[in-house]
Amino acid sequence: MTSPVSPSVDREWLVVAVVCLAVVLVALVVALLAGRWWRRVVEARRARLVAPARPWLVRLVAGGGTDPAALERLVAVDARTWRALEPAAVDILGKVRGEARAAVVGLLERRGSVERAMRGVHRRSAVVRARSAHLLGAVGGPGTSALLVRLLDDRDPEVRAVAVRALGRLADPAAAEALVHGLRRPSALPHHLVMVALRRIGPTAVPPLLAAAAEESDVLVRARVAEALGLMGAVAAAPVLVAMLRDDRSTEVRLRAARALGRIGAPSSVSDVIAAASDREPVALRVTAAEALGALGARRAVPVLTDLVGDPVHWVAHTAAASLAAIRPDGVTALTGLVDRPGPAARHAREALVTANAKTLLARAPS
Amino acid sequence: MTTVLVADDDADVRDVVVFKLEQSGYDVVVAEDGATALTVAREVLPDIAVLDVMMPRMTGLDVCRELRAAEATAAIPVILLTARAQEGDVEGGFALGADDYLTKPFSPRELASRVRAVLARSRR
Repeated sequence: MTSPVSPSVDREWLVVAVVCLAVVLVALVVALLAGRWWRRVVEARRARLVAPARPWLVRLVAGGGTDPAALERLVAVDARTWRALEPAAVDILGKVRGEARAAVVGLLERRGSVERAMRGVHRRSAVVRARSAHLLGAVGGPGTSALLVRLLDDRDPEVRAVAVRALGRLADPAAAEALVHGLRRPSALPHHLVMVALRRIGPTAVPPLLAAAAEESDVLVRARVAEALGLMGAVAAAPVLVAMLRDDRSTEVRLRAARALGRIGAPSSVSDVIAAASDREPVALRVTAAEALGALGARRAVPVLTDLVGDPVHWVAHTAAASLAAIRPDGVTALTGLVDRPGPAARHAREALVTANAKTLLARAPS
Repeated sequence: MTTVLVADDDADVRDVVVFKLEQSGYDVVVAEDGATALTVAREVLPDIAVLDVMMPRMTGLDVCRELRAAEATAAIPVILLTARAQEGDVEGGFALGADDYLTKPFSPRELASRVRAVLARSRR
């Protein structure tokens, strides 16, 4: 038989628990404040170091290499100051072009930053590898892409993300295939970054994407490929996307193909997108197809969308009305004709017209 | 002396533009956001304004519209600085009366040439 615990023991434990919690809370607050203070100290120290050298950097950039005094001054700054100034120099690279950019690249080369970054991508520290990838992406030059492509397989996800961004910044067609391969891996690379990078590379990235669309058995990968082709506005990919929309066994792939065709705006795809909006298809696909028809802006789609405004599925009808509002003037005329009819179609039509007018007014008004 | 208003919230871009224009012999006044740019423009009445499109408090397009709306500032030529991704804004900028535009990343030398050319055009 267990003896009953007295209320005073209970209270003692409660007091101990509250005190412990308070101590942990105070420790956390102190750690947070100390962290902030330390960051501020480091930033202030960096700002102090950078302050005398930054005007020379501005002078070098503005002069575009015609100011040897600025270059020599920056080449001569001590290692501590350079460490603080280097990120500012790398940042400025993305903001200027031509001689100004070449002047900063020249400075980074003279200071040994580029060489250090090329070695840095092999270092054990993930921070150093990421910083090196960032610098190489900003500077570019021979051999840079190959080093960054190797970092797509880095063990650290942050480094891989920086490498994808850097490759996108370089927009080197030679990296297209490796990036497309990145879309085919389940989780190694952030797919949205890969798509942005492919978009920056442009038409060279289309053939490897088309190859991936043809070979790939994984549904998600085919869906990503369709999305990437749409984001790139790859007109040449329209027939492949039409085939995906028509024949793919996955609704997700068909849906993304419809969206991509809308983005591309290929007139040859209108019939297939219209077919995808029919009531035999899954609702999600019908909604996306109705949206794509608005993006395509085809007059041929107006009668179909007008019928869809009367669809019993709310989102199909709503989206069809919004798409009609985007097809001017025929779609707007069709919507106006629906306004006085009885039933939900009139509500959808009125809402779409009001939204379209509000958008026009907003576009004209000061922000 | 010719006065140029430079408005950009990015300190790097602002400093480079200011240095380049001062080096080219202009008197430069600076603003870090759109609302300040408008106030400075109304007070100083610069000979030309270089405005970033994406600025806090008021965009470059809005500043351009406000300049055109007031008699005192309507004739100030405007050059817009826009990111490549926002090139759609250029059409809107011209519709609002902007005289020229430059995309970022930009060339400081080209900017100085554009300022010179727009000023020459506006004085004709």
